Amino acid sequence: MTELFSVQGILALLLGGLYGAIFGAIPGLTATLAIALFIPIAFFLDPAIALPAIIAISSVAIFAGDVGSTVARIPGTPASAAYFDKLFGLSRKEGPLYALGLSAIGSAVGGIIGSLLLILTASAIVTLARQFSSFEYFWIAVLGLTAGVFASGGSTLKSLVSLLLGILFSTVGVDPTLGFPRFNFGSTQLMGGLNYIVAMIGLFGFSEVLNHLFNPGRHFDVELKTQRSARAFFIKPLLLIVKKKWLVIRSSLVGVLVGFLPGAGADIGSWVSTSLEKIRQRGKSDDVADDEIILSGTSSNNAAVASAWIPALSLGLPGDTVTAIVLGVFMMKGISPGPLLFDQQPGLIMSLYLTFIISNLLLLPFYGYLSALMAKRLIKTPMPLLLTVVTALCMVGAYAINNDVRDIWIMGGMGMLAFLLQRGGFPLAQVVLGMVLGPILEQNFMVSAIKSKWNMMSFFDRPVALILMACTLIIIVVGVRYGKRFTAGSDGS
Amino acid sequence: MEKGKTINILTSTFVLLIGILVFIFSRQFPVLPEGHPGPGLFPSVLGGFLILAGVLLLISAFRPRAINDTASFEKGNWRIVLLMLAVIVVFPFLQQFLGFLPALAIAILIVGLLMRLRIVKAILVTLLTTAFIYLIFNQILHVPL
Repeated sequence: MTELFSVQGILALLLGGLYGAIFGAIPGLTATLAIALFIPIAFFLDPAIALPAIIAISSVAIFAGDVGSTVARIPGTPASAAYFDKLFGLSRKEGPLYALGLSAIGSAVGGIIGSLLLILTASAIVTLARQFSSFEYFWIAVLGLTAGVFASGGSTLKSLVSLLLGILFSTVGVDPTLGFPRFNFGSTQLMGGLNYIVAMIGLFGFSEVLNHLFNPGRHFDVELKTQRSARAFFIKPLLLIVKKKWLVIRSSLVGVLVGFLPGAGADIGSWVSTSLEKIRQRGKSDDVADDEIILSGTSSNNAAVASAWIPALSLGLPGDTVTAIVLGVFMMKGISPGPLLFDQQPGLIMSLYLTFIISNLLLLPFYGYLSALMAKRLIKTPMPLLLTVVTALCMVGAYAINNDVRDIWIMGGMGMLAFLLQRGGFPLAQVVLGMVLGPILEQNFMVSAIKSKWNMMSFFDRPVALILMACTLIIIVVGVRYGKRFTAGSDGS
Repeated sequence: MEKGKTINILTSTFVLLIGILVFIFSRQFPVLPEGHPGPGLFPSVLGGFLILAGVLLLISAFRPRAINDTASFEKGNWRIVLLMLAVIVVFPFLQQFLGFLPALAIAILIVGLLMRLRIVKAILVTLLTTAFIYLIFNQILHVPL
């Protein structure tokens, strides 16, 4: 915990927040891309500094996605897409500073609620997880994968295919039972498996470069003038939030629940929450409804940012793409999430909790105000210039993880795959989920099967395993029945 | 035929094909002692699921009210995407002859031009980015470049 309050720790938070604000605000650059590019650097830092920086980046970036919506009617990140038109409308009526203030303060409150629930539940789940054996972990992986299939917001079949591809990638390299090399096609490099971080840099970083080259985006027209007014940014939104406290709490809880589901995260969180709110608001006048829908979306997506860490820290299941990358960093550093992490590094856990509170309480309002003042400049950042730098960072990042130039090929291949998958309507987050959960699923299945001498009934005769299996079935039933209702229009990652 | 439908048919056939290949490959993996399934079990189940998903996708592509969630393949510049990939393919060879940083500088310059930056701007970005990467990765993080 002392690292957090060292000069480097505070610098990491401040720089992380600034970096997140810039990446979130620029349309076409997502929070996940920001993290993917940061990973090669994070890899060389002390986890006690790198992980808080990641939290700061993602918290601020998800809010900053609203900057684009406010000044140019273009969501900066997919998590802002659910309510960007409402936000733009509000900023035309009441000024961009008020609109962004509502978004920043709403995000901060949602983020704090998410963080508090993270702190409360992660330790509780860890206590439960202490009794888990390979049977329970197998079912947890099944549960996570099932939730991932239904949490994409698009076609269930396509998200299943993405998930299967991810799991398939995770089988490259030696197998867990006999050490037999699989799908390495004679390459010694692939025998050690497809490097996860390298794959992520390609999937989320390089694919954006290809997307832009293939179809350069529009030029953004900035229509609004921003003026300095701390009152419009801080005070007025805060008063509204106090008045609408139940709405904010309700939306944050929805965000927390969705963020907790593996593979869903902030994007889907804000879609579900705003859809629910729109159903509730029917019949109300538009002006009132707009404020409320914005609050609901902005608080739920930041609540989801925090709650995605609950399953990640306590069980090793990624709640979203950002935590999937974080789990990759854990893996490569030899840290195993779950009870062991809580026992061996309580200091790290405490500083992660603390970072969440600091990020939402201080960084979000601070960088929120800053990015509101710089909104026009941020939105006009020339993409070709920026993406040239992104390409270079993708190449060096892929190389730096193992000092192996051939990893640049893997990065490029994954980028091309992501580019094609997106064009075919397949979600990317599910590929990553498969890559993380694949090994957990296989290893725990094989260990359990060998332990029980291939008696398959042993997978069903432990109480917690049965509960997890029942949850899986419930997710399938609910997913098939109601899946489409709340997420229509969301575009995944 | 609509474009979205063609893409859906193509992708589902591709998924089906991958499934079949994975299934055939994993049948050749060894088994555990006493004939229990081993390294091949998991991939062959995966292959099976991919085949199933491929078939279902193919069926749904032919349904009259299929959802169009595909982005058009035609509305874009394929040539420039392939050129970008060529830079990635060539780079590891190039850096063997020139060293990492000079090769990277050349790559950045080409990427800048592919991005349609003006030549002066592209050179400027190249110099600044290379210097930045040298500073952060080599001097601070000690990555051998």
